[in-house]
Amino acid sequence: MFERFSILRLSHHTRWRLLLLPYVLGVIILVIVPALFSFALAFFHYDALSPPVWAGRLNFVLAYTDELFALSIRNSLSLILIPVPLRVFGSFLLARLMQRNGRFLSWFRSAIYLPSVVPAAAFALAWLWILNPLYGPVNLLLTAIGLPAPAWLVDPVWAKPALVLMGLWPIGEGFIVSLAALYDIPPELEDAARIDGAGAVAIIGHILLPLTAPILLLLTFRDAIFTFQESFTHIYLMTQGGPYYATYTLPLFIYEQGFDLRAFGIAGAALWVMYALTGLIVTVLYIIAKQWNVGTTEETFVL
Amino acid sequence: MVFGDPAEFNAYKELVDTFNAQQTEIHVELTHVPSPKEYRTRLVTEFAAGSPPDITLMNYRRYAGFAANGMLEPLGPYLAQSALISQNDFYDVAMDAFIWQGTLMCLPQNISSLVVYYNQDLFDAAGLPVPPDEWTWAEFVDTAVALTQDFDSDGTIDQYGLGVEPSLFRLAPFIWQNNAPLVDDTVRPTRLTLTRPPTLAALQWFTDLHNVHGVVPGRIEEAAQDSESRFLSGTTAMFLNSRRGVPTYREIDSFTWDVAPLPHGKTSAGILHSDAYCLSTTAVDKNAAWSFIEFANSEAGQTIIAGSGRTVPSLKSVAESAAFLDPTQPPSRANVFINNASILRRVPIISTWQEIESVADEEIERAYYGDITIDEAARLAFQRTEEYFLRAKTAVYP
Repeated sequence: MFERFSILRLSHHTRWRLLLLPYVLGVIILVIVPALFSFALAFFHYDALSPPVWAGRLNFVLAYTDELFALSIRNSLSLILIPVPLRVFGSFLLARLMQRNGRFLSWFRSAIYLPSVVPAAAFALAWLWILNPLYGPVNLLLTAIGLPAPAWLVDPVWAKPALVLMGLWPIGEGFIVSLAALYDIPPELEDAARIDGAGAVAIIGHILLPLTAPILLLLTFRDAIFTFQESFTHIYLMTQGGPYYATYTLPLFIYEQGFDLRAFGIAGAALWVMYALTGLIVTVLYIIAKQWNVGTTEETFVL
Repeated sequence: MVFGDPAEFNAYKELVDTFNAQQTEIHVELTHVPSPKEYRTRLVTEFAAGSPPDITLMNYRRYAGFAANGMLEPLGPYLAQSALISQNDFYDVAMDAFIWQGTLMCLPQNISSLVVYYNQDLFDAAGLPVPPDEWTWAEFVDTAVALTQDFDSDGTIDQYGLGVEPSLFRLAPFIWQNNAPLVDDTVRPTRLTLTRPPTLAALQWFTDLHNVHGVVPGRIEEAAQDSESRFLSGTTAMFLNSRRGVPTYREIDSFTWDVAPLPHGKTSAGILHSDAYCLSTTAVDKNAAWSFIEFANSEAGQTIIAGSGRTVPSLKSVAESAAFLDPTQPPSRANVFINNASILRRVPIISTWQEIESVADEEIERAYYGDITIDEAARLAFQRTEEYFLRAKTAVYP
């Protein structure tokens, strides 16, 4: 009698939908519903201790006029604009280098992936030590070879570069995806180009990059959104937004408004500004993709 | 729910275990959050969720926000009916800090204050007498200067004379010592008064410790290794802290340390550090919860915590007993804390005080490390904290 309900009897699409169900439920319960609640919250004064009071658009106005809010958006964007392309292109180049099969290459490939499996908190604490202005290995090395040693996370000028530098290591995901994409390209194309006299740079520029562009674009999307929202753990543990707001990002603003200052309404409003900005990033990238005609057709589907 | 270092946690564990062992009807579970900052976030989220722990340990600078919103059950009536303890058994200055709109809201466990912890070995090595029971700002600075050393003359300071957190809470006693106000009205404050000349002078003296005398680590040195770690590792001679550090410092075996009072300016003044047991209004069995609070603040309970070194007991009888003044355990000058009781002052009890401190700290820190002038810091601290004073609810009836 179980055969009547067997999953095998269901159509292909129904089976897929069934398999997706737990994930969809997770997204609805953990992401969409809280997001809608926070949207409603954005229109109230709410300190979590007394009942909410209707505030209209006030929270958005308060956030908009708060200098720290504008600063946090600027910081967030600058922490996307520079490191994200660096990371994606870097993981692509590394994948290209590691593409051949060699005795040690598999070790290198594992080594490149390794930082990505380190939990965010452990990674942040390790880098706090690596970038210690006096006793950290980076500065000991710089001093040993006679270079000036910046104070990194302690110096308002160097704090952002420090975070960028740290962000260059966990690129395992982009690396694996790029590697898979490169393996997917028929080797004949490269051979033909080589016979025509193309050098290593020309092969990358004229053959490999255009062919992997849809995938690199997808990686860029993901990385930009991810960095925008997920940079919180590192920053919270390493700089708390300091020194003097140099690394104060939008998620940190939202967290402080909510859990430090108990202004959940303003936090909700700022959260929706973050959603809107995320949407904007996706739209801009989509328009670029459309113009290049990559990643938007049935064959090179990205979005 | 409590916060603190592992050594502090053990003391509370012993207290809870003793309580659970001596009766069978009530079982207390201890929750421990290591850092004070996370503790604060946790309190807000748990109260917001409507399911806070029945009993929480809260600082007097922090409980007002919860009291103002009716999240705390006043303990005055419970104390009045207690056969075990009574109001007069406690130091007034600690009790007063927890009186909210006429009623005792939480029951304080301690009456701690800011003192100077010093490494006696470093004083001996420099041929300096240990800090006396009475000393001036100038003597304090001179001592710190003499103890700040670059032994190998490589241009890097190897030993700092002093370590102090650049914050409003650390600065406040020095403001009072200069006969200057911290806020315009201690009961119904409406603004910080850092911009007033005598207050500004205290800020100047405080920031000079770094900018002029160089007796404290700079921002980079502090980030590389904080002053408390430096004190623990024997490379900082004096460190300003409350009693909280004692359980951890008692684990030091590489040098002898002790405590001395803060120096005095135009007058003597200290700053109250006090945490109290608060009862949540959501607690189902309030009488059972009170029994634990009552036990924790009875002679037996306070003796356990005092034994760990963590507290300066708020019960006069325990503070004056061997449990606290234990001559076999450092600090041998524990009476410094008791002598302080008569000169202690406190920051205002208002619901937004934590926010005011956070913002003011940022500006004080910048002035301390020489990024901005003290005038600028005072002005910015005043402007940026204005909105929190406007929103504040005070401990007195409106």
